[in-house]
Amino acid sequence: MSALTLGALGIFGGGLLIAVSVVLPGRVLSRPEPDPLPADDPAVSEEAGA
Amino acid sequence: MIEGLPQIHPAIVAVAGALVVGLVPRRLGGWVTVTAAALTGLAVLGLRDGTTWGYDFYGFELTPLRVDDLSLAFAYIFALALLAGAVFGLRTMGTLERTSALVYAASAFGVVFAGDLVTLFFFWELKVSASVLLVFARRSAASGRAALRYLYVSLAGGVVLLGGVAWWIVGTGSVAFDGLSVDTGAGVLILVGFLVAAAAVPLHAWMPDAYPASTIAGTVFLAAFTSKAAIYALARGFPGTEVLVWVGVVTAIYGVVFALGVNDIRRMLVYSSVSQAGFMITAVGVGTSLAIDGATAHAVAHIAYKGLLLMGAGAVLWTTGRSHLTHLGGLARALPWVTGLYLVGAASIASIPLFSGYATKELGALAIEEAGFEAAYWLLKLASVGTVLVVLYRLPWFTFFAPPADPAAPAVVRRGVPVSMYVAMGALAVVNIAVGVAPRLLYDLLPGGGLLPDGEVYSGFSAYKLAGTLALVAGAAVAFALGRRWLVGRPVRVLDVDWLYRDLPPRLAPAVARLHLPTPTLRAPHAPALPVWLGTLWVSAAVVVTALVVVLAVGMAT
Repeated sequence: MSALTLGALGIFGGGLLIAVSVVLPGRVLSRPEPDPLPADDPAVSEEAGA
Repeated sequence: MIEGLPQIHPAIVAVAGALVVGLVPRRLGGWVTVTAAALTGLAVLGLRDGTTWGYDFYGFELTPLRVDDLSLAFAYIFALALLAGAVFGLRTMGTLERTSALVYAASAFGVVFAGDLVTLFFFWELKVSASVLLVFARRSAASGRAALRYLYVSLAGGVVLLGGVAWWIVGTGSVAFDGLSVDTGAGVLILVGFLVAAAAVPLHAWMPDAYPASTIAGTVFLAAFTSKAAIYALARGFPGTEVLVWVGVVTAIYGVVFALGVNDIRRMLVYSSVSQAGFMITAVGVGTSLAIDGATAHAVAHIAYKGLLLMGAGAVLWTTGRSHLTHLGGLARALPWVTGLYLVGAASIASIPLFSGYATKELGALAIEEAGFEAAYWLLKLASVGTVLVVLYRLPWFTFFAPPADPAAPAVVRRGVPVSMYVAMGALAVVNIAVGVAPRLLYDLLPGGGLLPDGEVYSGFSAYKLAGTLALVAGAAVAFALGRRWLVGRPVRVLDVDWLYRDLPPRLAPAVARLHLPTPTLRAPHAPALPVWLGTLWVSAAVVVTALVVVLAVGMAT
């Protein structure tokens, strides 16, 4: 397979994957979630599983 | 292998280390864990190809230790992952994590050296218990819930596996773990049990749910052992099972699509692991000697580069307390070494020449192409584009290089990266570069020696292949540049196929109510949550009862 073909796959295939990701995990199989900023102390922030 | 070392099962050394860690004061536990990991590695190096330990167990010949090229290749990288993880978590791990990690590693060694199905199942379930504790070890409400879901799925997979094993033994009269087939129901059940642990789509959702919920070091261990032990089991039991080719292709593409959509950087990397498992499953499905070499090499390299990537993400979390893309950005200046080491891992997984992924992925891809699976080959190339987008562009761009996602509250480094973290990351970076520069270091460990069907030694360093790889990476860069605005972090909780039981029933409830039928209460909003210990007890009891029923049913049927 030529480099040209793989380059084209990178561009158009990448675009396709981005488009599907916006819909499938982004909209369909997900739910909006509050995303508050973590606390200043790393020990009690997202590290603790928020 | 090192001549002169005594031959000891590495699982024994790791479990002994876990016992000692549990007894010594916490401040000494880190160094004891590192020592135990190093001694476990020495035990692996002491094993000689062809060694077997067997004993009679109620008329069955059990083989807790069977050493060959395939098991050794996995054992070497498991030993490296254990040591690197122990060093990485030297400052961060508590006693529960340390003991769980050592027992978890012991179970992974037990799986790859198991020569019979009974021993395999024993270590398989030990692996589940230890890995669930690694998720619990984060000691937060969210990690407790994720661990419980992980436990349910893993035990369900374990019951399926147990049913298959019992059925297989009764049907064939043999406990040997070798060359299984899907021609019987028993073989199908065993295959499904393996695929649950390998995180094959649609049996995968437990992995991106549970792994990022673990501790910083815990995620590194989790990414190394469970799914790779399952890949080993597939390679040992089901090479050449064609359905795996397509299961792998779907898994590879599905994983990267979801990695492009999630907000948490560690969840992103775990979805990427789901995708990478797809590459390995496909190669196992092809089943030729070259393909099994490709799957093994890819598994080995994946542990090395995904470990490095998760350590990089863990270092970001450790220093800033943040892991969501919506809270990150602009950290390259504050964390230059973490950024650089992460990029070594990213270049490896993206198959950039002179990094490990290039030497290993191409081996599997060549085997798939040579076996005539042209469509699978192309679809895996598409998945490779997704991998590049996720790990080489999206994650590092929005974490390290782009301006802060929230300019009013940029991520700030609040504590330094411990030296031990840098040492572990540096060691894995060296491994990734060494394998990339001199692939024969790895190929010599493979069951088939990385030999092509004509007996020639594989070399991916042709101008044609180099140009193709670089063109794919460049094409993905164009796609990223054009589609970047859709790849920013979004505050959504991606439920994946768990949506079917976590979101769909409440959505259906109003529709059912409109039918004026008696509607069961789907959720009591103010009901107390099920205690973790009670849930664990309940599920364990259910598993034992189900297992007994399966064994009795199989026994009565025969």
